[in-house]
Amino acid sequence: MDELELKQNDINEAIDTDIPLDKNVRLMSPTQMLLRRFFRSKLSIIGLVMVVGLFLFCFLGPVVYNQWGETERDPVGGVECEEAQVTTYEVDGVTYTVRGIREKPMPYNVKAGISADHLLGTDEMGHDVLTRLMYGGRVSLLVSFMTVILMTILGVIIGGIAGYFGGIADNIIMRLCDILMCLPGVPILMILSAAMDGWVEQQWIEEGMRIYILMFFLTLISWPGIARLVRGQILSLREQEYMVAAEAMGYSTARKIFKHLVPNVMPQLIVQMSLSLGSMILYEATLSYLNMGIKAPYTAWGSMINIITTNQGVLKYYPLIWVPAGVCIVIAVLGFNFVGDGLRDALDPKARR
Amino acid sequence: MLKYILKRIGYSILVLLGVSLIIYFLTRLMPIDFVKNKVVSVQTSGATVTEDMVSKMYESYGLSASSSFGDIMKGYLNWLKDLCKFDLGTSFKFGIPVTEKIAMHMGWSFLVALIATIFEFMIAIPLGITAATHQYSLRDYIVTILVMIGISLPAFFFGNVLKNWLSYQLGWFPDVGIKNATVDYTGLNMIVDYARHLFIPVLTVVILSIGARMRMTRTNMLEVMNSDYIRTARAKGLKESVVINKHAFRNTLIPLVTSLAGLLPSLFSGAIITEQVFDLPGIGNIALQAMQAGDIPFIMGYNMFLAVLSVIGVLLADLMYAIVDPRVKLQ
Amino acid sequence: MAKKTNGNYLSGKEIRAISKANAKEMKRLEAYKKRRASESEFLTQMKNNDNILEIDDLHTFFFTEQGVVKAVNGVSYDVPKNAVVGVVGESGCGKSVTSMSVMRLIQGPTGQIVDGSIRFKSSEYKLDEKGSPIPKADGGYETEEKVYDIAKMPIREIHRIRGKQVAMIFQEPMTSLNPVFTIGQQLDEVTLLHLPGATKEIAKAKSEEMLRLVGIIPENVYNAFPHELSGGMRQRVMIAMALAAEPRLIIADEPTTALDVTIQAQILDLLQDIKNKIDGSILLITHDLGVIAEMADYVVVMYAGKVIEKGTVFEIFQDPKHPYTIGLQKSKPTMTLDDSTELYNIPGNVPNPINMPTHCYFKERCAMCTKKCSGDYPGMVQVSPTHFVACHLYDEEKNNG
Repeated sequence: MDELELKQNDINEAIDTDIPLDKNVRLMSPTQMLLRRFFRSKLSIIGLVMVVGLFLFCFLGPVVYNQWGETERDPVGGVECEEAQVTTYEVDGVTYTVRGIREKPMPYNVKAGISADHLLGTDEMGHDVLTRLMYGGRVSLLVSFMTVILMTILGVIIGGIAGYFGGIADNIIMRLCDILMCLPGVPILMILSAAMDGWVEQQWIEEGMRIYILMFFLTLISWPGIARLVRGQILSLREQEYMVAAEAMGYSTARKIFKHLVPNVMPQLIVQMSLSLGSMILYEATLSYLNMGIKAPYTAWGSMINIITTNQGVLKYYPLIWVPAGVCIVIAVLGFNFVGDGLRDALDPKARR
Repeated sequence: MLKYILKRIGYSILVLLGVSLIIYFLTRLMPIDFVKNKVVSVQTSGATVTEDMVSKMYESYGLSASSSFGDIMKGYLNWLKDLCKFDLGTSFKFGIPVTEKIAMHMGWSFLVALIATIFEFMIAIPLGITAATHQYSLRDYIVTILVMIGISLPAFFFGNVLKNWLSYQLGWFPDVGIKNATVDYTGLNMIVDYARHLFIPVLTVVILSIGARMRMTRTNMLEVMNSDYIRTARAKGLKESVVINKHAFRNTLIPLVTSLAGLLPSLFSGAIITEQVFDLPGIGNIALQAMQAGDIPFIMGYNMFLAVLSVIGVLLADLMYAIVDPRVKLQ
Repeated sequence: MAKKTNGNYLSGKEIRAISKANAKEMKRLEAYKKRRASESEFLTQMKNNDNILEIDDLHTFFFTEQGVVKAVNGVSYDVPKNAVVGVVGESGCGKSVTSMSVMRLIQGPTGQIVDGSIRFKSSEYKLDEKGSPIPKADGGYETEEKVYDIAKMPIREIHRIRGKQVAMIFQEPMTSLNPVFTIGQQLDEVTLLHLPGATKEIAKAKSEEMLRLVGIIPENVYNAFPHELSGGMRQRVMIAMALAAEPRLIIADEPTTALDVTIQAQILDLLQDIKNKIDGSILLITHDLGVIAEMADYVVVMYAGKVIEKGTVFEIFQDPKHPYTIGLQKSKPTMTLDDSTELYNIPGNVPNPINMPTHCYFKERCAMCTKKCSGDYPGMVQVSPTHFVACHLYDEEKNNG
């Protein structure tokens, strides 16, 4: 309290006595308010650190840690251990299980543990896991970003048309939204992925393109959320007095939209985008996990986990191969969700405290 | 009321028509040769796919090599006609009608989802409410973090971690499947065996879905707690516990019950990833296998099935809303 | 961001200082509010035994990010027994916050009663050793009077006051009733809560009596949900609800503001009518001088979180002393004004509550400002036994006797 009163006194002194009383107070600027509210929550700070850290890791990491290339396999021969036979026998009522392990010589240094050469070991093909994490992260992050940006652009344009023109256009667009919202996400992508398998087989497209096409299709079916948001905002804003005033002053449509509508929709849009980023990363990872996304020799975080669907041994005995990728996905999604939540709190005009 | 329901059903049918069109044309994106190869590979793997079935499928999907746009449209109309008769064709991977296959497996999916949903609501509602009534307290922060972790975990990763830890490392629960294949249990033992097999999958689903539910409860409760009628209730002299448990809770319940009604049909839809990870005989796992085999009738049928479920969910939620909220009257 | 040159915005350092100080203060006050305390800690004595409520030097602050908003900054006034006290002032002057403080409905942790006392003489049922009320021979129960300091009461004890002793009618009838319970359920609740040994039947009878009292036919409304009623009807229900426990004090916080004009008149008539029927006082908060003139016995004029003038309704209306009160009277439209005179308005705006000057808050809007006004904030000057004013113009009178 004392500290505060001191501050208040300082403020009093600084104030010119000519300023009328209702103006003689210094408040926070809107930007300050926003930053203050955002950083007040420790979770938003953690989220921001996570996101920035991952970006640095994926895009600057390979520059620093450059012993291994993305598709480079460690050519030093290694051995692979595999379960040979399992025998159980009983002695005095206690069951013992003996697992026979067979060492198989391999042309590549596969499934290596942590060493100076491979900070996170190597995977079942002999790729350096840490390097793959960085390159895989690039794909995951890029694809999600592109998807969200595309989705937002589509949503804003379509929602804008619906909200601004209303009438038949609005009706058709909203019905389309209903239909698209009814489509099941992953199963629909499964159909498309099967189709794409065919395209690759027919050599209509390149293998590396499929994840981009899939995600492009995902934007085609996921814009309704954004469109509804924009439309709703426009509809409610159109009723506001200042829009009527803008109309009465004869402002052009473009000016009305950019001067008044955009700043009002923007906060919610930013929140929606950062939350969508998290879910898009999840989508991409799930597709990759099901081996519907990017395929060898290139990789994404989800693809790095795909191995455990076919290889029980890796799941059981080599967590180093698949756990790091999973942790990266969790960090990315958590980070974007924390940031999105923080932004929502910061931008919410109703939030108190 | 009845008029409203009929209107909504009519509208839902229109939506489904749109969905069916999209699904049909997406499926048609598959190259014909690719489908042929898939059929061959299914045949070579030992399944019985009669020439008759294949040719019927080609015909009904307009898949013949010379198909023009007209043939595709005709194919769509044929498919639609069969759809109206609840005939989704014969799955060539499983060799039985798609509807039969779906009916066979959706029970398992429903069982897992139902148990998980019960736990989800039982845990999420009290936690969400305490978080809201103790806003900005330590409790609130813990709940918020749990919410975030819940909605951020990828099912395939978290499921595998749990499987690895609880089954392989600790050996407490069986890893995959629905029952012990080597022993035939009866009575109570059978139930215990099922419970042991379902424990990790249900745990996975609960943890993954609880976050969103907690957040919903918390947001709602916060909104209610800041409303004027809660102030009135306090001004009456009611104890805070009565204010929360009677006046506020009844209002928070409205969206929760509504969402539960909307959720009900989707319990049958199957969790693809969870069922795949734990190799459960649920509909999601079957659909994944069908997809990998390029089983067109099954994939299309499954997608339509999901769309129908989600349309019914929306309808149920609206009706439930009218029942639990006295302010809502259906027109 | 905001450097010394930018006088309009706070600097980051200042923001952090405010935030730190706020957090500390809020934590302390929240803990004080939630503490457990024995009854003796908040029992007190009235200064004047004819009063039912004495607000003494009350400070209620809001600790915002921008600084401390001193919404109520040293307010003192009394509510005598069986009287109607009108509190008048423009929006944001702290009149509602004062009444919310009496009910302890200030939303924490931002809003806190920081200092001062609210003495209230409550009439409670006497309890025997087992904690149950002692019945009287002629029906009802024995009562005893206790004086509480509401400002010092822990929040867990506040149910002794709310509803039973002090009831409140709110400004927003449209949203103040719980949408999922019927009117009957919400009314019965009050009786069931406050009348010892009340059964459902007793409660229903009481609720119906109250509904009739406020001019509603109970059969039409008892089983209805709030959304089925109009705003005026809902406000009547709110009034019935406030009356149901026969409180000693009813706080009506702008009860007519949200209603349209014809309904306003009806509700005022109803309050007027009820004022004569009940055995209790009314604290009427409004910005409408007409309402005050019609209803009140005593008037308190507030400006920017402080009381600037208080007295009987005749003194305030016939002989207003404070330049602000005089301005208020002048700015009231009357039928006698001829067309040539423009409606008077007080120039300028209310000062921002975050940063109050040390001199009179009304100085720069005041037409009768003197040199002295740049000095300290004026103290309360007594101009008649019941009439007080806070203005330097009257300092002399005090000095001369």
